[in-house]
Order: sequence, then structure tokens, then C-alpha cells
Amino acid sequence: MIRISTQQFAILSAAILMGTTFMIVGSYAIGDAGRDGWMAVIPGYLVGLPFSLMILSLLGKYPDLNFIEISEKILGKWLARIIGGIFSLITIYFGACISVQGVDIVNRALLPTMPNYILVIFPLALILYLYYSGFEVMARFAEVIYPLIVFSLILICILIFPHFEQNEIFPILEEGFMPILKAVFSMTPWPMEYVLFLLIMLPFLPNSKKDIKTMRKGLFIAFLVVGLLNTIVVLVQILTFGPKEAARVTYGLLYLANMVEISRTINGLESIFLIVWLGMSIIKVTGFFYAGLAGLRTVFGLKSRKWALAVGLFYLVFPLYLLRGTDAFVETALIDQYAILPLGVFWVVVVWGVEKWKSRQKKAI
Amino acid sequence: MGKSWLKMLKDLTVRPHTKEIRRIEHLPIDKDRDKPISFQTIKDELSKSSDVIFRDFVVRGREEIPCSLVVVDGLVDKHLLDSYVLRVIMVDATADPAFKELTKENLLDCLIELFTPTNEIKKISQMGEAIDGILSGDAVMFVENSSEALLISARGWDTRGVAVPQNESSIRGPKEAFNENLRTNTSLMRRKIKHPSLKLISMKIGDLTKTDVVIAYIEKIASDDVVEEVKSRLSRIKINGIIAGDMLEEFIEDDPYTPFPLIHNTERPDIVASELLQGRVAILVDGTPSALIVPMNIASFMQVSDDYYERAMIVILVRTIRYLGALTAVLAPSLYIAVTSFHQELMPIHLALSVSASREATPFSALGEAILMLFALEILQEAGLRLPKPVGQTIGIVGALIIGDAAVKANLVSPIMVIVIGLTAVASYTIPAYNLTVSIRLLRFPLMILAGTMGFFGVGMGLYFTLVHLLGLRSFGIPYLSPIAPLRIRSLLQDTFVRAPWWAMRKNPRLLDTDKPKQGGQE
Repeated sequence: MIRISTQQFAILSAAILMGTTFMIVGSYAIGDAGRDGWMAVIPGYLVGLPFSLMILSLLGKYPDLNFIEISEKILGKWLARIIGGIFSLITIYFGACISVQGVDIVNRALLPTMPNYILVIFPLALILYLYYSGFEVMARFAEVIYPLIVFSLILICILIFPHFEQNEIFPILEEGFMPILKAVFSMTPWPMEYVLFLLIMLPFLPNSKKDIKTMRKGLFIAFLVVGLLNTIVVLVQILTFGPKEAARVTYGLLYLANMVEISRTINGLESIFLIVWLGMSIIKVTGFFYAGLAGLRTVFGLKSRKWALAVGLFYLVFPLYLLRGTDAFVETALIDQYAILPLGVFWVVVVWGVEKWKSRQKKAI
Repeated sequence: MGKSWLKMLKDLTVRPHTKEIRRIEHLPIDKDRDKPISFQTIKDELSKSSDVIFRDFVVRGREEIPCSLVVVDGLVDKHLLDSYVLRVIMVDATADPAFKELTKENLLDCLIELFTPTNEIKKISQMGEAIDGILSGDAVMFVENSSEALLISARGWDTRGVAVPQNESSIRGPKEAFNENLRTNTSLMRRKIKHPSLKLISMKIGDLTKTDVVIAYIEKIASDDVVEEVKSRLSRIKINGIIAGDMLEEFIEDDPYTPFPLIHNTERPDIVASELLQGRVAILVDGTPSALIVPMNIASFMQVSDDYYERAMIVILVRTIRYLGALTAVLAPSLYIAVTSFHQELMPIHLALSVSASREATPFSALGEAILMLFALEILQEAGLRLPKPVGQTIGIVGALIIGDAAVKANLVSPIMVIVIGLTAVASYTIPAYNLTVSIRLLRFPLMILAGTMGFFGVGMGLYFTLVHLLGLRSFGIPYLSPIAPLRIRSLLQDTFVRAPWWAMRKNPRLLDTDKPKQGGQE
């Protein structure tokens, strides 16, 4: 099995962690905490960090095993398989929901008259191509795309600078800390999405002590960078639109890109920005596609290369006939809050806790 | 029927370097290769060729020892043979006191040790060695009824001198190019790297052509794994003949179904020397005025020799222009099509009106216009490659008139499209490697079709597919897109989009994962 480097791990983590959240982070954070929403982003992300560190701590002891296999060793075969089965269903379904979101955004902002099947088939073909190219290629894809998205975000923030109204962020903490806490809680599922992906990434990671230490650092940097970038995005939206308008707009960043004009020659950068964003969306959907299939392989012993086509068929049918338009956002939020967050917290804490307890008992004996 | 289809499919899908897929019908003489030398068999086999000369003679004063010298006319240095072999044996040797000791049994040893003043001479005992030697330009001396012979190196044929590079011109730096003579080519490299660690491994490829191939690398700098892989892939080639080294490319590349070049091809010894110093391996083939270099990454195809002779600051500017040129060559037509067909909102109103006015009288869509123009351009480019120089200029003028002025006046294409295509054509020549230019020409058409049918979404999808394809490619095990992905920061900053000053290059780029020797600055 080809392992990715610690550097690739950090970049892939940042890419999955960020995913497509920068598009909606403004409406979530500002919607809950108003003009103080920017303060909620980094704490919201950092919630996922301890869970990620717990998972990494098991890597040295259980090399070459994914979290379902580790759970089998710690919790027993059947309980691990039941949780693994639920995990597979959730990740596959969640990946499909994100792909519907992607189709919806492209349809609204880029190609309103384009038939939906075109917008579904091409990205799906790309996801399958990426999946069949292997995990390492996916990590390299993230290495190329993530810097591009960071660059384009920073570029938009710089180009929109003339529209800033400094007074929009004041007064700070007007409503106290409670709205910020509420915003933190509504953002908590996002890092947990990454935590679910990390569970299946374990066998592809280097597992020497030195590498695990480097990966811990990389993880911390990834969480911080993604939190910081999303904080900047929220701040820019507040400074440009003001808190009321920013909370109302779902895709604030697209509006920001639309306002940019360069030397009276190029304006409305949102089309170009959307193409880069599409790359991040592809990484995230492929990540969940991968996680779901790896889960199916571990739990049911299904050959993932053949089953990828079956799951691919579901990804084709789902956005065309089962879930469309803005319903995808509601569905994604529901899965985030009621499936991904509880599953991630419960599973990781229980496995990590039982493992610690068992190893202490062994030591005591 | 079904089985033959399956076999053909298998042959097409098996990568040539991973398995021997060709079967060669062996000629009768090949069966005798390992047998002891038999002059009569060799005579029977070679006497039908009019260029093979059999010079029968006897050693002076030893009429009981009949000999024969066999050479191929035109491949040997006749002066060398006459003066230092035949004259010595037939005239001068009698004056030597050791001549008295000469017998039929010790004749070959005496000739090697005492009487033949040439620097390359050895005793051979197998049919294959004798035949290969004769046909490669060596002289072979047979003694009647002996199962051994003497192989005397006397190669000498007309070759082109060392000329100025035709396809890779440079402003600064050396102005010499390889020619068709393998020894001249290896000597050009040896003159640049005068160190015993430069290794030149010889082998022969081609059952009939027996083409000499040399693998060149610098020990301790080149990765042993890469060198072994090169040897292994070359040794697996089974083919009747290699006429030019470029034919080897398809046999040894990692992915035969990619449009992107995975092996570099250069006619400049200075580039080969520079690549060897970076840990790469060169393959030189007799009769080919260029060398193949492996492993390669895509960034290396964007570099030229001038980059290393010019000051670093200038190189940064030149490389930036080159990369922008490459991007223009790939994307200019498709972006123009996408913007005019789907995303007019990207243009401010006055620009949109100007573009719209220029396209008003044109009957085709932007995609149709672009395909028409690029097709004409491709025809002109392809025709221009093989035309004699005087005719080429005429065709160039006619072509420019057809695809430019006349097409616009006939309202077949808009003036802006002529500008876009002209810019694309010029930009594609900023890419230094011809094989990469061709790949980009190939990529341009699907991107244009995607742009014409799906706008930016199509272009984006096309680029992402290309990116995933590039990310999956490897050249002799090295990721094709390194040092971008996997990210190697030192290599990226040292010699990819920019070039660091020589004094700042303390270590080799990590592309080849050899950290040992320094390349530029002091450790």
C-alpha cells in the first residue's frame, strides 16, 4: 500500500476540512452571532482537533488498519461492524448530498440553462477517475487545488478591499458570548466531517513515531489555517455587506466575487472562482466516496473497485431524481447535526477510551 | 477468432517495459552464435554480400599458416589496416627476433603481444562475436582450421562533424550538437564530465541491426534504482531493428497511452551533462544525433539551456513569460469561446459590445470559428515542417493571408478570433520542448469543444481531468508533476518556476531523492 507523506497528510486534511465550507461559513457564523460571527470560526473548528488527535494516537499501535478494523480489535467484531455499516451509509449519503449542493450552485451561478445531467455526469466521472487513480493521487490533487483555493480566497479579499466599511464590525461583543457559542455549536459538525474521513485514511499514513509527531503538528496547522481563512472570509463579508445583509446571503463569497472589477476589463470573477471551488468540492465528495467504499469493503468484504461503480450509479441517480436544489442544504445540515456529529463523537471517544482503559489494565496486570 | 482478439487486446494493454510482448523469428545464423568459430561457415554466410572483403594472405616465411582478414568495405579504416596490421604481418615481422618462435598455435597470441601495434585487439572464439565484429566495422583475422580469431578494432567511416544544434538553439553557452556517431557523442559528454564516476554502460538492441546503445549516468548521484530500471527496460526490448534512438521511447516509457512526453530528447551535450549532474540517466543510440533523458517531470520540459547560463533574475522573468505562454497556448481559444458563448458577464459592457460588433457578420459560432482557424493553422504547421525552405516561405505567406486577412474579409471569422488564434500559435512556441508543444496542441481541441458546449464548467472539467491524469503519471518511478505534487519545496524554489542563483543551490533538487552531492554552491 502506498503511503502518503506527512506533508501530503497535512494538505489533504486542510482540503477536506475546508471542503466547501468557505461558501456558507458567512451565513452560518453571522446568522448566529451577527457582527461577532468571525470570532466563532476558529473555536468551531478547534472542537474537531482533540478527536483527530485521539485517532492519530491509535495509529502507532494499530498500523495498517482503518478505524473499523481497530474498533473490531477493541470493541469486538459485531459492534464494530454495526458502527462501520452505519458509518458507510452516512458517508456515502453525505457525499451524495454535497454533490447535489455542487450541482445546485453551478446551476444557479454559472450555467442556469444547462441540463442537470450534464452537471452530474462530468463531475461524477472525475470522482470515479480520481478514485480509481488511488489515494496518493487524491492527496496530490489536494496539493495542487488547496493552494489555488487559498490564493483565490485571498485574492478576492484583497480585490474587494475598496468596498470595506470599517465600522461594520463594531461594537464588538454587543450581545455577549452566547450568540458566539451558538455559532460555534452550529459549526462543530464541519470538523467532525473531516474526523470521519480521517478514520478511513489511517492505513495510508506513515506510522513511525517521528511521523506521527509531525502529523500532529500538521493537523494543528491545518485546523488553524482553515479556521483562519474562514475567519477572514466571514470578516470580509461583514465588512462589505454589513451583518444583516451578510446573514441573509447564503453564498456571500459568490456575491463578493461578483463585485470585483479589474481595470475595467474583467468583472464578475465568480465564474472563475466557482471553477476552483468545484475542485475543492470534488476532493470532498471523493473523500466521502472513498470513505464509504472503504467502510463497505471492511464491513461486508465487498471488492471496492467493482462496488465503486454501484455507488457511482447511486451518485448519478441521487442528484437527478431523489434530491434537488436547496433541499440538499437542509439535508446536509440535518446529517451534519444528527448523524455525523454524534457518530464521530461517540465512536472516537468510545474506541479511544476503551483502548486506554484496556492498556491501563494490561499494565496493571 | 475470439482468442486472437483477446491476445491483441492483451498486447495493447500490457505496458511494453513490464513484459516482453514481441516475438522475434530467429534467422538461421543466429542459432550458431554460441558455437566455436568456423571460418567456412562465416564465409558461406557473408560471401553473398558484395561489401564484405575477404583478404587471404600468409604470414611471410610461414606459408604453412594461411590466414584471412575479413572486413566490411566502408566501415573500416583501410589505412590503419594496411599500415599496422597487414604490413606488419606480411613484411615487417620477419625482422623481429621473436618471429622465429612463431607457430600456427601461438600465432594469435604473438600478434596481440608483439606484432600488431593497434590499441584495441583481442582473441575471440565464438561465431556470434566474429560476425558482430565484422558487421560493426571491426576487422577479424582468421587462421585456417583454428577455432579462434583475432578481433582488431579498425572502425572508420564517414561521419558528420560536430555541428550547431538545429532544433535547440541558444543565445549563450556551448554551440555544439550530437551527431550520428556514438563515440563522438560519448566523447562530447566525457569532455564535459572528466570524472571516473561518469559511467557509460554499453548494450546492443535489435536482433538484426545490433544497434549500440549506451546508458550514461553519474554514479552516486543517479539513483541506483533508476539506473537498474533503465537497464532492465532496455534489456527487455525484443525487436528486429532500432533505426533511431527515438524508437526506444515507446518501449521504455511508463505509460504508453498518455499524450504527454515522459522522456526528454535533446541534441545538446551540455543539456545531457547538466541533467546527469542532477541525477538523471541518458540513453545514447548509435546513428541518432540526440540523447534520451530519464526520468523527467513536466517542469523540466519548460527549461532550456540558456536558463543556466543567464543570471537568475533574468531567468525568473523569462520562465514566467514561458509559463504564461504555455497557459495561453492551452487556454486562450477555449477561454475566448467560453466567455463569448456563455459568460459575457465577465466582460465590462463596452468590451462586450466591441466583441459582439466584431462577430456580428460571422456565420459560425465561436467554437466553429476557432476549430476552423486552428485546423488551418495545424495544416500549415504540419506542411511547413517538411517543405523545402524556399517553398516554405511562400506557403507561410499564402497561409497567413488565408487564415488572416482573406478569412476576415470573407466574414468567415471575426478579427478578434484571428488575434486569439495568432496569439495561441505564437504562444505555443514559447514551450521549449517540441513533444510537449504537440501534447498541448492535442489538448487544445477537446478543451475548445468543452468550452463551446459547457463554458467555464467544461473548461474546468477538462483541466481537472488533465490534472488527475498528470498526477497519476510517473517517469521511471518519479511522479511527473513533482516538485509541485508531491510538493518538494526546495526543488520548487530552486529550479522549477524560478531558478535560484547558482551559489544558492547547495544541494540537488529532491526530485530524484539523492541528497549527496552538491550541485552549485558549497555545502
